[in-house]
Order: sequence, then C-alpha cells, then structure tokens
Amino acid sequence: MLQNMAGAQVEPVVKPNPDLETLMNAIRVGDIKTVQEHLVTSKHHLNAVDKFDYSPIVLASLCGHYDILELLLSLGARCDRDTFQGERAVYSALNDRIRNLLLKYDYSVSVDNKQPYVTLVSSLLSKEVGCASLVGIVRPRPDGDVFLYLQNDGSKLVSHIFVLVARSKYFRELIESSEALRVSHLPIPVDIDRASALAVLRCIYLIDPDDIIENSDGVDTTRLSIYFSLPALRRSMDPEPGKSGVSKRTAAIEDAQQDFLRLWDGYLSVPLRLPRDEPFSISRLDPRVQLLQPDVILRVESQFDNEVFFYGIHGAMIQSDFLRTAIRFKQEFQSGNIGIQRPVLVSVDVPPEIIEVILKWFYTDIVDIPPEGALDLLHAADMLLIERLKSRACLLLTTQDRDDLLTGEFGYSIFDVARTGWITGTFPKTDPFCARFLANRLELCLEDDVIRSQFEELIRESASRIQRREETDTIELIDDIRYYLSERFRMRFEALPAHMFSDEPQDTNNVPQEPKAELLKTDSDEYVKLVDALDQLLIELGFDV
Amino acid sequence: MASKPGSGRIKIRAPRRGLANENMRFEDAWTLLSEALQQIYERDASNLSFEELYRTAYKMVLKKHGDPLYNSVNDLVRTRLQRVTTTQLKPARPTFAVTSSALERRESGNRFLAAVKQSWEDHQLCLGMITDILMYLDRVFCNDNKKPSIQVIGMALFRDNVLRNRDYDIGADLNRVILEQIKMERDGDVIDKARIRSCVYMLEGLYETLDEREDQKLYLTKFEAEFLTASNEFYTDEARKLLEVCDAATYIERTNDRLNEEWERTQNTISTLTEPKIRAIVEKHLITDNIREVMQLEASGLNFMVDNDRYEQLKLLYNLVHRVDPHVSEIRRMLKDRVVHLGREINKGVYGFRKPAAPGEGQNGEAEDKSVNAETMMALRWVEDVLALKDKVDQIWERSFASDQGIQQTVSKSFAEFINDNKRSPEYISLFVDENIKKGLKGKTEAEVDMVLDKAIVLFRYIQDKDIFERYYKKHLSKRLILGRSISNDVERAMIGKFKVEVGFSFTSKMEGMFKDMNVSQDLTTEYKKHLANLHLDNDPTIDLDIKVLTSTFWPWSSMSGETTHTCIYPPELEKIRMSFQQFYLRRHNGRQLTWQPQMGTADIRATFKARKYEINVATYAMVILLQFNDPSVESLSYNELKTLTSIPESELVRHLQSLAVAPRSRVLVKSPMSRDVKPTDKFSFNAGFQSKQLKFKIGTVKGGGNKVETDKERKETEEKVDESRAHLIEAAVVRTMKARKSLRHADLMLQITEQLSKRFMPDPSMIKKRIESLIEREYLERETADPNIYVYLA
Repeated sequence: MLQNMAGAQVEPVVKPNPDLETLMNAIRVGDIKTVQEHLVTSKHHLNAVDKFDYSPIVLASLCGHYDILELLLSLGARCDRDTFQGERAVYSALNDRIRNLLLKYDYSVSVDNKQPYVTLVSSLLSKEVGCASLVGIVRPRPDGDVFLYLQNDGSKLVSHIFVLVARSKYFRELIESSEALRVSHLPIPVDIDRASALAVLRCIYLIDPDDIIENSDGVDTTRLSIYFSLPALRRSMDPEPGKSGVSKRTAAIEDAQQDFLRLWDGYLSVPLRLPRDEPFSISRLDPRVQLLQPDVILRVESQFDNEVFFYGIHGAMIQSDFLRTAIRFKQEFQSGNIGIQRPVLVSVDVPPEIIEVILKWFYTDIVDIPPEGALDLLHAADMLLIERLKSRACLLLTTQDRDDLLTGEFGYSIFDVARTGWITGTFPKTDPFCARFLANRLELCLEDDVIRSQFEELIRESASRIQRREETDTIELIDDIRYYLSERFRMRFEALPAHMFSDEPQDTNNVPQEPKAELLKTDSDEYVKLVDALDQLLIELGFDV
Repeated sequence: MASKPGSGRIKIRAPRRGLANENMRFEDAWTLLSEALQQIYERDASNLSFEELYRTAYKMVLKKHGDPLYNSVNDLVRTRLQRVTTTQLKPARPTFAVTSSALERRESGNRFLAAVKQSWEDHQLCLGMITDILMYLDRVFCNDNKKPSIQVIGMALFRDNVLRNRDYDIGADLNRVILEQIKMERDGDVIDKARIRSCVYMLEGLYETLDEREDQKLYLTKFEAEFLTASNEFYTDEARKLLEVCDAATYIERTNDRLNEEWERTQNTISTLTEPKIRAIVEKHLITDNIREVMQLEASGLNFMVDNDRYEQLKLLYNLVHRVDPHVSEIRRMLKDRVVHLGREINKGVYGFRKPAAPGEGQNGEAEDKSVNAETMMALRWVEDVLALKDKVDQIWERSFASDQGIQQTVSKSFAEFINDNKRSPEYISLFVDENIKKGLKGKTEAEVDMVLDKAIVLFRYIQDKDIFERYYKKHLSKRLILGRSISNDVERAMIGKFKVEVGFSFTSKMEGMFKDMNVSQDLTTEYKKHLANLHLDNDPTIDLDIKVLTSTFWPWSSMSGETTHTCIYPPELEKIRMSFQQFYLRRHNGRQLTWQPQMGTADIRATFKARKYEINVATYAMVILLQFNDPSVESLSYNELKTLTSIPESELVRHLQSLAVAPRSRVLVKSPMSRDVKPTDKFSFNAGFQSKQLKFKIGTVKGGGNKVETDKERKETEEKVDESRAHLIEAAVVRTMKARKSLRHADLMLQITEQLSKRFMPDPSMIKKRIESLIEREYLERETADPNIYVYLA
C-alpha cells in the first residue's frame, strides 16, 4: 500500500482558487445543494485538489457527509485505491458506512460503468424504504404509480408498475391478471410483514445491501424469494462461500439488466404506428404498453414511411436532459388550469431506429447498435443532451479502424466523424482517432481525387476552427496528422532489430543485412515524400507551412 | 452488450445528412424564436411547441449562429426589462415627500415594493422558460465559448436595466423604501415583512459581477451598508433615550427586546447574512457603551438588584453583558464591591458591639463574663450572617449568573477580603463549629449536619491565617473532648476529614493525635480496671477511675490551663488511687512523665441531704473541696483553711466555691456572710438542708464551662503564641529552601517563603526578614561578600 502511495498520481495542483474553496467549504459544512450546483457548472473540480491536497471526496469522507460523497461518486469522482487521493479518502473515512461506500466505488471498471445506472434505479425507491441519502436532491424523484397495500398492518409502500413487472414474476402475473384499467393498488398478503416487503423492494430496486441501515433480521429471504419469484433476493442475502461481495453485486446488477431487457423487448419496444394525420390517443397504444402505465409518450416521425411512431415510456428512467426539461416545461408552464396531464407527449426529431436504441439504453444500460449507427447515435445523444451515452457512442465510433470509412462506403466517412466530434464537443476523443486514421492512410488521401477534395475541405474547417478561437498559425488537424505520421514510421523503425542501427559488424552472417538497410531507406524516403506532399497540399490551400 | 444478430427489426438506414446539409437562415430562425419569447413575456406560452423551439435553437448553434443568437436574446431581454421599468415601475414610484403622512408613505412604499416584486417574479419565470428553450445554447455554445449562461446574463440584465436603470434609479428607491419601513417597524408600526423579504431575496439573488461571487451579492454591496448606517444612527439615539427615561430593569428589558427584534428581522424581513453585523451594532450602542452607567444607577442598578434578589433582572443583565464581554468583568467588579460592602456591614456589627466593653477591661470578673458571653453570641451571629450572605450570593450566582466560573472566583475573593478584615474571624468560625457540634446538631439528620459543617468549611477556605484558626480549633476541640461535650465522634472526625481535604495532613495531624489519645485512654481505663480486679484489693472499690492520658504535644496546654501550675492536695482515698494508677502506667511506659491536671476533670459523688440521696456531678476541684466537709466533726471551714487544706490555686478555689455556695440552685455549702463575692474571711459549712427536685444533677463551674470568645487579654496571648509558632515555621521554611538551593537572592527567597507558607498564613515580610537575620546570627546562613543581597547556606 505504501508503494502505491509513493507512486501517487496527484491531480494537477491547483493554484489558490476561490471557486474551488467555495466547493470545499460547502463540502465541509455538508451543504449538498451548493456542492451540486457548483459541480454542474464546474465539473472539472470533481477531482481537483486544494492547497491541503484535499480532493472533494477526501474531504467529504473525512467530514462524514455520506450524501455528498455519494453525489460526488455518482458524478464520477475517482476513488481508486491505487491512487494517493483514493487511498487517503478510504483511510480518513469518518465511519464504516462511508468507508464501505468508497470501497464499493473502487470496483472493477465494469461495475463502475454501471454505477450511474444502478444509482438511477435505486433512487426510484423513496426514502422511507431506506434509500439512504438521495432524497430529492440529486434528482427530482419521480413519484411511483402504484401502492403496495400491506394487509399485514394496513400501511402502504410506493412503487413503480414497470419495475415490478420487470423484476418479479409474482407481480407481473398479479398485474397482468388485474381487471382494472389502471392498477393503482396491489395487495400484499397478510403473512408478509413490513420488514419483509421492504426487503423485497430493496432487492427489486437494486439497493446495495451494504447501504441498508435498518435491521432486517428475521426476514426469511428464502421464503420471500420463492414467493415473489426473486432469486436475486436469496442470492444477495445468503452468504455464498467463494464469492466475494463485489462479484455477487455484479451478478445482481446483471440480473436486473436482463430483467429490464426482457421488459423492453417484450413490452416497450413495440411502438404505436399511426399515419401522419391521425390523432393520438393513449387507448390506441399496445395493451401491453398500457398495462405499464407510461407517463411519457415519445412521438417520433419516421423518415421514409408517412408514419408516426409513439413510444410509451417512463419518466423515471429518462436520462436525457432535453426530455426531462421538455416534460418539466410542459408540466410547469403549459398545463394551464387542467392540472398535470398524463402522459406527457414529447416529439423527438430522431429516427425510430435510433430512438429505440436510446430507449433501450435508458432501461437496460445496454448500447445495442451496429457500428454503422454510431455516428447517428452520437448526433442524437448530443441533441437530446445525454452525456453518458455520448461517450459510449464516441467509444464505438473511435474503434472502427476500417478502410471503408475513408470512402464513406461504411455508411459514414472519417470526415463525418471529425466534424461530428467538433460539433458535439466530443473532439478531445475523436480528434486523435481521426488524425491517426488519416496519417495511416495519407497516401490515399493525397492520391484519390474525391477523397483529396474532402480532405482539403476538412483541413480548411479545422483551420477556421482555430482561427476563430485564437490567432495562431498552426492547424490542429495537420499538427496531429504530422505527429501520427512520424509515429507511424517510428514504429516501423523500431520493429527492426536494434543491431541494424549500430556500426559494429555483426557475427551472424546468415542474416542478410542488405534488404533491411534497403527497407529502412525506403521507409525513410517514403516518410519524407509524404511530409513533402502534405506541405504541398497546404501551400495549394493557401496556408503557411 | 452485443447487438442482437437475429432480430433484424432495427435496421440502420443510410444516415440522414439532412441536418448537416440543411440550410438555415439566421433571420428566419430568429423570427420564430423571438416571437415565441415575446409570447412567453405575454404569458401566453401554452401553445408553444417546446420541442420545435429547442430544435431551432439547437440547429442555430450547430450552424454556428450561436453568437448572434446569444446577443439577440440579450437584446430582447434588455428591451423587455427597460419597458417594464418605464411602464410598470416608474408609475409606482414611492413618495418621500415630508409633507405626506406616515400612512401615505407606507402605502406608497408598499405599492412600490409590490411592483418591484412582481417584475422580479415575472422576470424569473420568463427567464426560466427561456433558459429551458435555449438549453443547448447554454450547454454547448456558452460552455465552449466561455460565456456566462443565459441565466447569469439574465440576472445581470435585470440588475442593470431595472435596478440601475439610467432613466430611473429603482435600486436607490428600493433601499430607501425598505429602510423607511424598517424604521417604522422599529418605532412600533406594523409592516408587510413578507413583501420586503421577497425584495431582499431578489437583492440576494443578484450579483455585481458575472462570476457571481458570494461576497458580491447586491444585497451586500448595495443594501447592507445603508441598512447598517441607518441602524447605527437609530441605536445611538435609542441608547440616549433609554438612558434618559428608564430605570435599570427597564433598560435591560428594552435592550433584550431590541436584540430579539433585530434577530427576528434578520430572519423574517432581511437576510440572515446581516445577523452578526446588526447584532454587533445593537450590542455596541445598548450594551458596551452604556451598561456600566446602567448598572451604577443608584436606585435600580446592580446593587439594588443584588440587595433585593432580582434574579430575573440579574440574569438578563448577565446575558447581555456576557454577549459583549465573556469575562463579564464589569459585573464582577461591581459585584465584588457590593459583597465586600455587605460583608463589612456585618463586621461593623461585631465591632460596634465590642467597643463599649473595651474600657472596662479586667475590671471585674462578672462584667467581663457577661460581655464575653454576649460576644460569643455575637460571634455566632456573625458567622450566621456571613453564611446568609454567602447563601444569597450563591443563589444569585446559580440562578442569574449561569454558575459562571469567573464570577465564582470574584465572589470568593470578595468573601476572603472582608472575612480577613475581621481579625477575629478564625476564632468565630471555630466557635461556630464548636457551637454546632455541641448542641446545634441535635435533631438534625446526618446530611443536615454535613451541610452546616460544609458551610463552615466554605468560610474556613476564605481565612488567610489558617494557623490561627488551627490554634482556636484545637483549643475548642480539646475542651469538647475532655469534657465529653461533642455529641458525636463521627461528626468530629468528619470535620477533621474535611480540613484534611482542604489543607492537608500537617494541619490535622495534631487533632488526629488528640483523638488517638482519647481512644488509648479508654483502653487504658479498661485495662487498669482489669488490673485492679486481678490484684483482688479489698480496699474501697467505690472509686471508679476514668483516666485520660494526653500526649502533651498534641494538646494546647497553655490555652487549657492558663499560666498557673495546677496543684492540689488530694484527700487520702484519692491520693491512693492516683498513686496506684501512676505505678500501673509507668510500669507500662517506662520513662514517661505523668502530670496531673485536676482542673480538667469531673467526678460523680453521692451525698445525702435530709435523708435523700443525691448523685451530683462536680468538677474534680469541687469534689476535693466537698470531701473536706465529709468528716462529720468539721463544722465549718474558712476560705483560708480550705486553701491550706487543698492548696488549690486561688482563682480556681474562688470559682468553685462560688458555684458550690453562691449559685442559687446548687448551694450545697453555706457561706457566711452570704454575699456574691468570695472573700478570704468567708466561712463555709455543709448545707444539710439543701434540697433539689432532681436526684441527679450537675454543679457547673462558674465561667470556663463552654467555649467562649477570648477576652482581650487572652487574645493578646494567643497572638503572641501565634507569632512565636510562625517564627518557627518561617525559619524552618527558610532553612529548608536554602538547604536545597544553596544560595538565593533576597527577593527570590522572600517569594519562595511566602508561597510555601501562604497555605497556612500570609507571612509578614518584616517578620521573614527578622527570621533571616536571626538565622544569620546563628550561622545557618551568611550574606555573600560580593553581593549582600544573596544569602548562602552554611552546611
């Protein structure tokens, strides 16, 4: 451990910074509202350090503000035990609950990626059921649409129909067999007491057993898991030898994803298709969708057929800032005297294929799109303001190193990728990919007329981007291409045996030396030729070299 | 996460280039958007398509129209706000004319506040909707180009175009109206707090700069300073007015009310940010500047409150002063003066009593007796008065001063001061304990006894000359022990225990020795009886000897026996038993010397008067006198005869004869001539006709029974003794210190000695000097030749 600390990667040291001080002070006193507001505008402070080398999570951990810590982590604050800050946060944790929270976020990358999704699902359960600290602060908590009526003591618990249907066969059958048009109450048998019902809900909503403060002794998880067809409940509670808490948690999350995937495939993915002129009515939705009581209807125009698609979905799962704002706008400013209308109808200017990918991701955290669709997905995610999905799309985009990307035969071209990167603000990730891609295929870019003209156009755009920002002579794209070009040849040189570069005669006579030297010479010539050609191109375009 | 290969329902068709290629003219898009924004301002947003508007703004940003869009929105909002100012706010302008009545001014102010509030709320609502629609502009364009968000710019526009409108300075009017209304409220009017609050919220939501720093709120930069200035003026005035018309109690209450009122104002009317600042102003003007004067008010100030136990007022006063001075030094100073004053009043009572007795000193025994008795009563009353004062002050301390530690110290100092003013306090306090242990504790529970003794200890703590107290206490204790006057051994021991806790073992070791002697004597008596039984002596078993052997160093001899040596010729039957015991004792403890102290003893004797048998308890001397009449052949004995026969010291003889022959109830002897005084020519005879109702009674000795205050003569002696023992203590301390330090400067030595001894008494510097000189003479120390200020220890 000490070794790790010695090799600490300290985040860039920040000069005295009043903004950061504000954030740190808010963390000290536990003012979660200010912390949240601050991070919305200055996200780069999330992993910054102050003059005491405190990072926000270290401070939150030290001061014991569980809710703030949770907020920071859910926003993506780094808590890696291999770093000094991560280690420090864990060590200075005020109590075990804080410590466990930190360790939980120090999971393998796969679970880490799912954390925002899990947090979303967990936050749907209201506070009275034990979700520790996200109360109405991290995001407005969508109200549930169904009461679980406990016959045992007459109390009620709020829940969501679609979650129940997705997660438990018992509830699914109960809801499907219901005769009421809108299910608003579900009776829970008298032999299930409140503690048991809460345990069931916690499992359904993926609340981490580590977070549960209340005593759940005396809850017979085995019986409950059979009764409600919730194998996950038994698994989460039973101590299983040889399986760590982390992998158990991972499995539980994957189970939930599969449940929601079934919900999507089996219920929600079926849109109502109507001719463009026909008025929409909720009763025309697929009965299976109606059963799930969607509170938001997405209206999507199909581009080719003269048809409009309607998707019934749940506001609770929406992770698009555009959609959330649109819903709020309509409810707050446009509901008039009629009161809040449900469901809210929102039109989206995204083709159905893409919107389906996005909706599926909302419910399951699974990005299910062929590489050809990645560019459209990025555009859509940008327009709908879904940051997390943008990075996922970007990742997909920048791993397609294929030749047909150059010609555009793949569905979109490398030039589209570069432009989209600039437009959507994802260029820090796409630019290196594009530059390397182009450097590796520079010959083609220069020789093929069609491609060359596209290439020239891109260079012009890159140049204009820079000029608009600040007056410098370099063109970002060209700088990057030059760098990757040298990289390309350097790697070839290094692939050759080292002795080729030494003057001493070699003993190994059976290795023919001439061809290698020749190869080196050709490569070098080629490199010079390409660099010259690129310079030539720039001169033709009227730029100083 | 893999794609579903089989489903095939989703087919990605050729991507739409529509967006990238679509042409868009800024003017068209802006027309659409600006119309929508106008509609928002007209409160007619219900038919707008949020999606369309958002998309329009989104496309404009993509098409690089972000900059013009941003500016156009700014212009639109600015124009709108300017129009609001001229059409809605300007007409609502308040009147400040001096001619208008307060009511008019309030009403016009209210209308103005309402208009400002309305315009602010409208602005916020509309800006909220605009921000929603322009969300993409905010997120992408503003972020990329480091421009302030629409929300921030909207706030700045409101600040510049409404509050700081070039045409009409609303901000200044707003301040003025708010301050005027606050002034009205301070003067007792009712105002609409909520309305002011919402305007204050507005000022709190606006900043001087676009980066919205917390210390740049308009509230702080523009309003607060004016508010504080106005408050400063108001409270300067208020303090003056209150001082003029109020008594202390009212002043304190009003100040407290003002403080609460201002606190409430920061909670309900203006911002909580101002709370510490306005509090400081009120505290400065109403407390810091004037509280001393208020406390010194003759008829109602601190002294009055203390004298009359005004707990609530004192509490309020304490709380107020504590706000500005955690040490409450002003209260402490005045409280000390008062307590010392009250204490000296008590002292005065005692002196006042003693004065007249002084001239007749030693004139005649009886008069002196009387005055001593009365002074003993006085001493007890003094202690009780002091305790009552202590109770009173403690009550105030607990109920009004929140048991403040500093005040406790002050109280202690005050008590110490006046108690030590009274030179007789050690004696009085010891007498008080004596009195209580002797009789005062009858019928009290152990806890109550403990309480009384604890009080005595409290006073004991204040005494500076603990050695004097020790002397008196030992004297009183010895009498109690020997005469068997204390009601409970446990109580005595508890008391000793308390002293031990207070000042340590050295203080109590002699007293404990006294107790030990008493116990040993009891055993000794038992053993002696056994010894007699073993001897089978057939001679007169009727004398039952109860002996107390006292170790001479533990007991305060001189004060017990006076100067005279006590001799006595014992009648033969007594002499025999005395010798027998002496032999018995010396055989056990070889080398010790027994000195008999008959003046301390008592005897139970039986006598027959008129065929009635009585059992009489008399002093040993009285017994010896009576035994002279045991022989039936003795008719009468003259004073001189008795003197010769008994050789009892004259003073004692006179006293005992007085009690046997003069005291009316116990006249077992007849004196002729019958007079009060005993003269050498008097004759005494057995009073055969004596009768008494009780068969068992006690003949007390005139004077000298219980513990009384000392006469001035005795006191002089005591003082001399005290000085003598102090001299020893000082010398011991000097030698001890010098032995350890070898050489020391004069000043340092003085300091050390004073410090070491201060627990027992406050040594007088001249006395220390004398002792040092004496030690130098006796060659324990010498002055260093080079520097006569340094002493050197000589081994």
